[in-house]
Amino acid sequence: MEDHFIELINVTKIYHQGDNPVVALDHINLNISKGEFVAITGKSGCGKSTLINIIGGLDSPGQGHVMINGEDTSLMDDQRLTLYRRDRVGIIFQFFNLLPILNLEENIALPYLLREGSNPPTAKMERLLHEMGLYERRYHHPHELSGGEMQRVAICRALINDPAIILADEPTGNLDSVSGKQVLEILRRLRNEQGKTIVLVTHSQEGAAMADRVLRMHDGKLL
Amino acid sequence: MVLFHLLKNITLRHLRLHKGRTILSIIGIALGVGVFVSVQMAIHTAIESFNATVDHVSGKANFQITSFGRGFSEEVYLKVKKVPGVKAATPVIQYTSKMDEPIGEPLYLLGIDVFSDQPFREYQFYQSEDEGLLFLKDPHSIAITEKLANRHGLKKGEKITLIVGSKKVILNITNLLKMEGPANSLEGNFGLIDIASAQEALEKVGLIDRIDLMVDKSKPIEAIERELRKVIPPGVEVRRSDTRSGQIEKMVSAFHLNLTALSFISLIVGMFLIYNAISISVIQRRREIGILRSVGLTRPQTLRLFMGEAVWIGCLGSLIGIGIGIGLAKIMLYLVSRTITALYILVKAEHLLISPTVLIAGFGMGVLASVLSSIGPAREASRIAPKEALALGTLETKIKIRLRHFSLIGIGFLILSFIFALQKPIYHRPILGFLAALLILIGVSFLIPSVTTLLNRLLAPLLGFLFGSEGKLASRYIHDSMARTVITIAALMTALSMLISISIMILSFRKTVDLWVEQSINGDVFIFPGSYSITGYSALLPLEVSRALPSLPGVKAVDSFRALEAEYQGQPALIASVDGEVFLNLKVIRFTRGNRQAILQQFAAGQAILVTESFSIKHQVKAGDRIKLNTPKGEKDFLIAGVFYDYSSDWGMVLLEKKIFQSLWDDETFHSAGIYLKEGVSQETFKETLRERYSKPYRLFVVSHRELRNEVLKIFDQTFAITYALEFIAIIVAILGIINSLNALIIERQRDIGIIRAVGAFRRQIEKTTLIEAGMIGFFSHILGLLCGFLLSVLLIYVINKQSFGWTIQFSIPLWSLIESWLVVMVTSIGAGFIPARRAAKMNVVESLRME
Repeated sequence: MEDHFIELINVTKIYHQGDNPVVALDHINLNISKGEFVAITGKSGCGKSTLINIIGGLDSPGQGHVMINGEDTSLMDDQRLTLYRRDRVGIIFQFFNLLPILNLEENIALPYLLREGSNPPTAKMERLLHEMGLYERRYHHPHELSGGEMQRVAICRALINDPAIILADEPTGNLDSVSGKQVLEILRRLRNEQGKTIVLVTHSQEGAAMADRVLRMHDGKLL
Repeated sequence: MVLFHLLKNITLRHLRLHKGRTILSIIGIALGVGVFVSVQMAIHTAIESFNATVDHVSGKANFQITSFGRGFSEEVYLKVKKVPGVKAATPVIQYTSKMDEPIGEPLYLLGIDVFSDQPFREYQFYQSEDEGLLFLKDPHSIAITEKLANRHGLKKGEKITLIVGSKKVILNITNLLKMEGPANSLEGNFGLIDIASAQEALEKVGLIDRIDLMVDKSKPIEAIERELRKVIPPGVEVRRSDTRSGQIEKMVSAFHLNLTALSFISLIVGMFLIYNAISISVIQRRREIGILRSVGLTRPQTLRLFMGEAVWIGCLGSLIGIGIGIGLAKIMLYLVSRTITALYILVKAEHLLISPTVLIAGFGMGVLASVLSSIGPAREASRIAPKEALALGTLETKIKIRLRHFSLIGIGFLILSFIFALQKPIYHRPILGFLAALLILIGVSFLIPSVTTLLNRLLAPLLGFLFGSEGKLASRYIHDSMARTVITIAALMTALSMLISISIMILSFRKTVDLWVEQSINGDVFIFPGSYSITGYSALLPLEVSRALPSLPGVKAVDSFRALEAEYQGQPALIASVDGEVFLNLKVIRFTRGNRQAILQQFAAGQAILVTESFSIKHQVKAGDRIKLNTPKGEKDFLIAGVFYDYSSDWGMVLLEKKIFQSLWDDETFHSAGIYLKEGVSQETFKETLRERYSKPYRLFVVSHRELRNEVLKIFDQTFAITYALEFIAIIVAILGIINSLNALIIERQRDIGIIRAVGAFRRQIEKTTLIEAGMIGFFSHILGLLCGFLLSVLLIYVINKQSFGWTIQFSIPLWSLIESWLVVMVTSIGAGFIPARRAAKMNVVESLRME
């Protein structure tokens, strides 16, 4: 495995609640190899989601550097950060974050459309839909899907631009146990079959068990 | 391409999903564009119709010899046609008469010399050879158009009675004209008579109004023009035909500019509506934007996405607006034509001219207004960070408004508007004054958050006392939704402030005019030519009447008035003649400065002239200055003794003492006269005497002072009817804004409402809270509208009106109208809140609580 594919150097993030500073990340140093499956666990509010948001370019670190394959995302302007999110990472959220106004297929196609200006090739779309067992429901809207289905749609969307990194923020947190297992299985396959680098924030033991490495966080620090 | 997909897949779906909001926004822009298009189209049609009449009756002439006044000697014609280079010449008399009741319409009369006129104009008669000869043989023949004949059931061989000035003239209809060439003048209200008959009817024997010329184009035009000038007497002018267009544009330019400015109000109010709609869209779709941003939508793409939404609304609204505009234009044309006829010159236009330029301009305005108003919210959307996608629970709907920051900007704009208001007009037009008005609107809009916060804080205890918990809740909601409420208040305030300012201006103007009529037009009985309402100053009293008036039993003095529509320094102006002695001894003339008695003594002695305030402002002259006027006796130099207040015309008027005028123009006719009666003589008896003596041969309009005053005020009110019509539409647009805004607030508060209902609120309490909120929006808008309206009215009265028309208006506040407007606003605001209130009350508690 390629070393230093994702590297966090001394990353600190402080939020302000009124006049009180809250340290979300406290001097985090982390190194994730290419193709590695890393699980991050810890109690609510320990900074897991902040960490994944910063890796995913959704949030910026206050201090420190986030190096992705040698490039420092903390130095990127908004335009480059947007392109990074669009092309190089796929993010899966706990609450799916699908656009209710778009149907399933359109939700999946969105990052591709933003990149290419056109819908993805039919073959690619159909392959993904078949793989995730969503083909029959491709014209349904999010409110017509179950939680597990919605999360599989979110995974398809994360994969449509073929990113090297998949970030999943408690993807099973809002699912029943069967659906949760399915999602974790998909993530495992993505690592094993496609060599994706996966960072999974999870509370579940099953999720942690699937990872190559489990990192524990507490009060913004990696233990 | 990406944008196209996003607009198609996301924006259009949102627009469809929120149909109500979309439709209201579209209506807002549509009404704004509709008003603009209808006003422009109506003015364009009126102007073009006038120009077409001028072109039709001018025919193929490439030079014209004209004069202002009663005309010039026909001997000039004999000299002119001999000038080398002149291929053809024909004398013309033109006059707008009035067809006697019951028709009562204007009839444009063209008196021609049939033989010399042939190369100039083409008339197509429905006739046999014999009938053609009849037209020449019968000195009382007239050819009218087939359109006119059909409209009023007139036939060949019948008689038609015309009022020419004051005289009843009965003519025989010998021919019908096909609708070609001059026959199209005044929508077919056109009659052709022999020049000799015209001279007789108008008491102008030996005089003509115009000579049309066709010159040899192979010869130098300037040389021919020079030769022509050598043979014409002073006061008569040579004009190239291509300079005749643009006359009416000059006359009505101030009216046009003011009406155009007024027509923008609805569009400005509509802009607030679009701003509001896009803001609501951004706030409601914060999470969606976050998601889009998290999967790779860039900031510029986000900006374009929301501006694209405005473009959709703008395009659709503008297209509908054009339809509305064309529909409204017919009514507007009637109002505009009536006003132009009352104030400037007769126009009769029935068929709307659909100008592609006006339509394109209207469409462009609508789209531009939409795009401009979307910039703010679209920029806000583009600033949404991708992490908003992760925000759960209640969506962040509050936009923090920095009160101090906003207030300072507002005050800055007001100071800037004050500086603009102090500037001089540009090309005689108050361009900077209008800009100052816009700055006042913007300035006061920035003050809305502070004023609303303050008023809300002051009113909160009273609302609690009057309406209990619902009142307290409504007050709280107003405070919490300030960002949204501000825009709604701004829209309604804009419409109201314009209504209030224009009401103040009109009432002040009305009172000023009323006072002027009361003081300055102070005879006992007034006599006008019967066709004065159509023909204005060109209608004259019969010489028999005007000569006899001073010696009629019971008459103390006659205040005669004669005005010529002339030009001064390329601008339309009136040169008028009055009796200096009457002015000195009987009339109450108010001068802008100087000793009244001294000025009038100088005037009555024929040593100086007077000018109106509008003339003084328009041409930058004052008492003590000297001006040169073209007269039939050559260019003469006059000393201005004083500048007096006058509201009869915005052209500006120069007043000459009667004896001076008559000696220069050889014209003893009057247009009208005010008669002062001896003590003890009854007005009614005197009016009866006039009727007995003159009603048979003439049509005269004889009124008492009170009747005249009522007539003046009636014309005044008719003139401003159009203003109120435009205002009314702006208010409708603003009311749509309230419905739109409250609906959006209700959707946003769905979860809150669910919670309140869950803990025990009745449906009617929810309904009541929303209605109170609607009422508060109306109340705050009215208070701010009063503030803004007052500032605008000061600007309108002391800057815009003064620079446009040159009139000093005494400021007065229409207290009763303001109370009325307050009541109307409260009722309509609460009414507008009714639909959202019902919607809020009907919300399902469980579903509302499930809302994220």
